[in-house]
Amino acid sequence: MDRPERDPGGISERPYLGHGVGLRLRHYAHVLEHGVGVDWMEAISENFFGDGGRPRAVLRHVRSQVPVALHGVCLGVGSVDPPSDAYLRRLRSLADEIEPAWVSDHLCWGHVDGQHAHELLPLPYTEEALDVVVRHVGKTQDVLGRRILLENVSSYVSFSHSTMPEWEFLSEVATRADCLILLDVNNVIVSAQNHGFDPLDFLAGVPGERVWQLHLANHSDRGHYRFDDHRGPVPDPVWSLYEEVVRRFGRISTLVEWDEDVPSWDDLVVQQRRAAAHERDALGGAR
Amino acid sequence: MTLRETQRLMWRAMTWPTGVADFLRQADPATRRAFAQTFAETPGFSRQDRVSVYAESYYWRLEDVLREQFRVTAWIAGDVAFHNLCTDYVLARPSRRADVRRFAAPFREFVTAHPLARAHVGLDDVARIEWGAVEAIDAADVRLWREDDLAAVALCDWPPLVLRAAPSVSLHRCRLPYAKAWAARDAGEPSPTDPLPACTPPQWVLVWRGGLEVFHRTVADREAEAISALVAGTDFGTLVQHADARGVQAPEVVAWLRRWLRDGLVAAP
Repeated sequence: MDRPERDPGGISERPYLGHGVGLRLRHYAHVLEHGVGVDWMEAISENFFGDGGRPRAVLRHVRSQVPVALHGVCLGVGSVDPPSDAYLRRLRSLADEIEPAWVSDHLCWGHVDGQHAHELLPLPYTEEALDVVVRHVGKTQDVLGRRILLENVSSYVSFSHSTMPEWEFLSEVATRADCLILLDVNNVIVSAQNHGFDPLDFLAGVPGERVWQLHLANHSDRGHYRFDDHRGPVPDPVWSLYEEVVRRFGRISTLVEWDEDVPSWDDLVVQQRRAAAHERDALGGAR
Repeated sequence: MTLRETQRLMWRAMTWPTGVADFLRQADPATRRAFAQTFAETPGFSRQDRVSVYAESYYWRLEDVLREQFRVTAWIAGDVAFHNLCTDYVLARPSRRADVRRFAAPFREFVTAHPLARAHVGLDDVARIEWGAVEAIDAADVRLWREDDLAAVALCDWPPLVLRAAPSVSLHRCRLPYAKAWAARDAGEPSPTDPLPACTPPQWVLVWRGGLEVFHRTVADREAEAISALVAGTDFGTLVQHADARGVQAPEVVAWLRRWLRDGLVAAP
C-alpha cells in the first residue's frame, strides 16, 4: 500500500484520504473477516505498542487494505518534562512498520514529575508554554523523522494568565515547530461553549493550509458545560461547523470517532457516509 | 506562575483523594490564592467545578483500565470492594508510564499487600493470572513448533532437544478455583456474596495465546512441573528424567508434549 502523496515542497498540497473511522476493539473481528470498506482508518498508537498478537495482526490487516493514521494520546507535548525516549522509540518502531499516512497527538499536557494522568490536560496559552511545546514537538519530529499533526483538545479549564487565545497558540506552535494540525471540529464546539468564544473565530485564526485532518464526534450536554465523550452519532452543530470548515479550507481527510457505547460497524459506517455527504454539500455537490 | 508550578497545582488538585473541594478546604491560604489566580471561572461554571471534571475523569479512566484487565478479580471481590481497591491503587501507585496499558503492571503485588487479600485469600493469585493474560494478548509473535516439526526430529535426537516456551506462556499457582470463577463471570452470574472457598491444594493455571486468542486451563501438579521445565529451557531428556522420578512414564510426557505443540505453547528452537 503506497503512502499518500505528499507535497514535497511544503504544506499547501495536503494528502487527501477521504472519510474514515477509528479502529476500535469491538470491530477487530469484523475487519478481519469482512475487510474495511471505508477510505482509511485511524489507530490509537499506544494500543499497538505490544510486540505481536491480535492488535498488531489487525493493524497490519487494515494497513494492507487502506491508509492508516497513527493517533497518540500519551505524548503530552505540553508537559514541562519532555516525552520519554523509550516512548518515542516505540512510536518510531510502530511507524516504521505500519508506514502511516501521518502520526498525530494532542496539544495538551499529561505528565508531571514522572506521573502520568492519561488525560488530555489543557495548557495556559503563554510564551513559556509555547516554547515548551515547540521544543517537544521538535524532539518528537526528529525521532520520528516526520512532521506530526497536533489536535486541539476539548477543555473545561482555562488559565487567567493566558496571553493569547487557543487558536493563536495552536497557529504559533504549528508555525514555529513546522508541524501540522488535526482540527477536531467537535472539540472546537465543546471548548467554545465551555469558555465562551465563537467557533468561527477559532476557524478564522488557524492556518487552513496546515490542517491535514479533521475529527468529528459527539459530545454531551451536562447543563452548565459540554463534555467530550464521543458517545453517539455526530450531532447537527458539528455537521454544520464541519461544512463551514470544508467551505473555508477545502476538502480535508476526515475521521469519525465514536468511543463510548461503540456501535456496530454498520452504524459507524453510516456516520462515515454522512460525513462524505456533508463534504459534498459544502462543496456544492449533490448528495 | 511558571508552567511547572501550574501543572503541579492542577495535578495536586485533580488527584486529591477526596476531591477538589476538599483539596481547597485543606490547602493553605497561599495555595488557595494560587488556585484562584490560576484557573479562570465563569458565573455558571466555577473553577473548582472545572478542575473537578478532570479529577473525576482521571479516577474513572484508570479504574476502567483495571476493570477491563482484571475482570475475574473484580467479580470475586464484588463491585464495591473492587472499586475501593482501585481507588487505593490509583492513590498509592499513580501511573509512571506513558502507556496506560502498563498502568496495572504492579497491581498484583499491590493486591497481595492489600487488606482485601486477607478477606479473599488467593485474590492476588487471580490478579497474577489475569496480568499474565494481559501480557499474552500482545506478546511477541514467534514461529511455533508443531507436531510435524517434532516428527521430523529423529528419536535419537530428542533427549538433547532444548524446548522453548512461546513468549505468551505463563504458569501460575492459584489458591482459588480460577477456571470456575472465570466461567461463572463469563456466564453472567452475580459476584459471590461470600469469599470463595480456597482450593486445597492450590491449583496450577496455565495461560497462553493460541493464534490470536488467549486461553487458560488448569493443569495437574506433574504437568505443571514439566511446563515449568519447558519455560526454563530444559532439554527433553532431563524433562523425562524429572518426570520419571515423579513416577510419570515417558509416553505420558510425550502426550503432554504433543498437546503443548497442538496448543501453540512451544516456540521453534
